[in-house]
Amino acid sequence: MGQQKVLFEAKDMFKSFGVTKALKEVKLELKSSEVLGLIGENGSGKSTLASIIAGIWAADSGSMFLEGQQYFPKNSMEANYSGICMILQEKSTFDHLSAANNIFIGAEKRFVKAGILDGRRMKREAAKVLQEIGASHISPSDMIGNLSFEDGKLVELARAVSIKPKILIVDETTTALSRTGRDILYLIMEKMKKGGNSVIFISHDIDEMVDKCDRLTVLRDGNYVDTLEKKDFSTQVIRRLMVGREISDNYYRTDSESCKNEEIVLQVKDVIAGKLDNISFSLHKGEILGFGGLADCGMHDIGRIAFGLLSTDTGEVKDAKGKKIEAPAQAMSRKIGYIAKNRDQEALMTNSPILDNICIASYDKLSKNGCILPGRENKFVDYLADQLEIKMQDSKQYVMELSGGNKQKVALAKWLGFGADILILDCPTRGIDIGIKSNLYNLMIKLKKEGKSIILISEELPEVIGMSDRVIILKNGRISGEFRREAHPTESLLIDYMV
Amino acid sequence: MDRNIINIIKLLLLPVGMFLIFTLIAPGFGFHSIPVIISQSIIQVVIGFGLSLLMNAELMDFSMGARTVFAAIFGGILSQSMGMPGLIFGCLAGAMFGALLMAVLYQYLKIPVMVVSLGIVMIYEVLGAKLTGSSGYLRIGSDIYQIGSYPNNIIILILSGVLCYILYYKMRIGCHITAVGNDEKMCRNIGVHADRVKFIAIMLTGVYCAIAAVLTICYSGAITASTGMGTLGIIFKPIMCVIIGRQMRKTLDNMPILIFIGGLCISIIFNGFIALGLPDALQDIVLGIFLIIVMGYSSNSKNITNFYRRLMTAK
Ligand SMILES: Nc1ncnc2c1ncn2[C@@H]1O[C@H](COP(=O)(O)OP(=O)(O)OP(=O)(O)O)[C@@H](O)[C@H]1O
Ligand SMILES: [Mg+2]
Repeated sequence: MGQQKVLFEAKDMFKSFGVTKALKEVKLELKSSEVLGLIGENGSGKSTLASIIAGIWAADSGSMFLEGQQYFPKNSMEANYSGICMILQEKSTFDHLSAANNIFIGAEKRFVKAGILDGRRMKREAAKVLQEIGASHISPSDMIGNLSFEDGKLVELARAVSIKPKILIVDETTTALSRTGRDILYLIMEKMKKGGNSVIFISHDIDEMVDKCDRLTVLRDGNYVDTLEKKDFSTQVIRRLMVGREISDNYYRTDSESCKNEEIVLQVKDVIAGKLDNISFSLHKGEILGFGGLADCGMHDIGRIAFGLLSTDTGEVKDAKGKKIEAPAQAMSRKIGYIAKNRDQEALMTNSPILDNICIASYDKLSKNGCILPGRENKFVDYLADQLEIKMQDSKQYVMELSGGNKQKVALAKWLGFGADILILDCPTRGIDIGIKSNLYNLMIKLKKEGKSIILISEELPEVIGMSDRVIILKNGRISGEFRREAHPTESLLIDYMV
Repeated sequence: MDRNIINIIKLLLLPVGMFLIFTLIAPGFGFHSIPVIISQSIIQVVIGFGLSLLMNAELMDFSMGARTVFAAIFGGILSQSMGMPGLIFGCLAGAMFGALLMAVLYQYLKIPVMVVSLGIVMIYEVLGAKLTGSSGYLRIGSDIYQIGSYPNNIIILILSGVLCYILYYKMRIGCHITAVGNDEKMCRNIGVHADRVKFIAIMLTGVYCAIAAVLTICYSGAITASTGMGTLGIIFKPIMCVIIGRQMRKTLDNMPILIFIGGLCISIIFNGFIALGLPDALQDIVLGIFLIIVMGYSSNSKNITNFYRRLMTAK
């Protein structure tokens, strides 16, 4: 190692969005046949840098070189032609188009003869690519809108692979994927390396970064901090470089007692709905109830039925007083809050200011005689933004301009401000950096102490084990195992129940 | 049998059913009405083809009626000196000019298409009226309007349907239009030029206005200029054709056929109620109710089947 030639280089990169300086004199060097990790806190400029390399944004100043040649893509199409391709952090597939159309969008030229598109050949090729990456369960004619969030991401992967890129940029994708999806991604990265190509990999999971990357470039607040070689990787050092201060190793709960409160706040009985097949469980006061399982085990539907979003075919969801919950409005009136996994589409209004997003659930509190009090609104938002350390210009900024992790914080702030007694969190730490993650975990512990209950649905088993009083594992829509905290379930034990 | 053919037959049950009902209840309505029904639906279906491209890009345009009438007048005037080629050239030129003006206004001034289109309606109505002179009326020779009357109009309809199919499914522009309608920001990330795609979509509506213009002036051999937003009435039925068509898209992914079926339904309803002697105002009410029923059913079809399933499991 170390002797590989430099494939790509960026120097003196500057980029501002209004008054936000997203990048300040950032540099990056990518060698051939390597996976370069890009790591940093939320809003540190990772996505911005990656998007500039992929031609989505133009830098304010700075220069880039691809294989020694000056590289200056005008748009992402040009970047694709040069062999650079990016999987975005946010969902970027078109719901109303088929998988095949999504895979080849922008690159249909290959299938056009005398102006006419050969749809059949395109579908065949799409099937080939899907097969190649190991996602043959997706049919090229499937409308993306009918696919799951994860399968959508896999289609994006297929799109990237079909371009046969020299440089693949993967921005915070793993947290959207289940285990199988991740394996598919890792395999692609491995193949890229073997073929002499390179990957820029962005993730907040330090263990994953240490495991998969050859070198790591650390950004902090839009500044370049350092680049580490594989031999120098240490979780402690990486954390310190990222945050600029020491962060304790242990951010999960330290106690090993499960919640003993018998008071039931939410009861789900014999429910068949969506992917769920005869599910019963109850949530107690002051309990953190974790759900884990494989991607299509139906665990995401648990949150949806508990919030009344998905109506049940049979069975019922009841609150503490035994009243049924059948719609989100009913759930909210019983002080239940819900953050969906598909953040941009389901949990936020990205085309609205942060202020509106945070206040929307709490207008009752913020108004007097039917009029909203702006003073109260501002105070409310400032307090929450401060508590969660949301990185923003001001509360009037649009949510779509925030970095991925900061969007998640806005969604959380909404329900914290609402004062939910029961919080349903579906993949709450998706795209959140370790600093905030540990804040979030502390917050969950604090809420638990205040007697609030939490349903935690997560693809991250360590998180489920580390935070829950009780863990329920789902398999094919049924409960396959239940573990109390004092039983100290291990990851491998849970996996046995998942597959 | 091919699944698509079965689905087409399923969808045809709607207009056929309505036809049979009217045949039973309305005296004077029957098989002899079919040519009228089809020929009346042709113009609105053709305009619907063009409009659906725009609606797919999540744009709304009210000016297609005005542009069609203007193009027809322009074509009619040219036909007086140049005959049939004049008619075709005039319709095409008038329609493309209309589309270009709209596309340019939208592109450079960034005014929403719907707003631009309303401005265009007023401008073109007045231009058309000026061209026809004080009578507001223009007649073309019977030798000329042959090309747009039966059975040529059927051929024109089929050809423009085929063109629509090709645009939708056999060219990259159709896919890009859908993508733009889906999410413009994402298009940018992926490298599809949303503005260029919309420009092309607007220009394509010009082609359909030109075809509709030829058909309109040949339908009765004359064209009347209308002012005071009168041409908005023309666009109302095509909008419904497209909306009905889009609602059936889950069953069959073939927009031109769906729009045609939508056009048939509307035409049957109108003719059926005329046969029943219903006054104009009431016809609009019936049409409105029909639209609500179709949309209501198809947007809730999942809930309706769920409801039935739950009823069954409850038993
Ligand atoms: N379109 C935009 N308009 C305004 N500000 C933006 C825009 N995109 C990003 N920013 C700002 O630039 C900064 C860097 O954002 P970026 O998305 O690069 O962060 P990130 O490192 O990817 O964070 P995360 O881990 O949360 O995804 C943030 O402060 C963000 O608010
Ligand atoms: Mg990011």
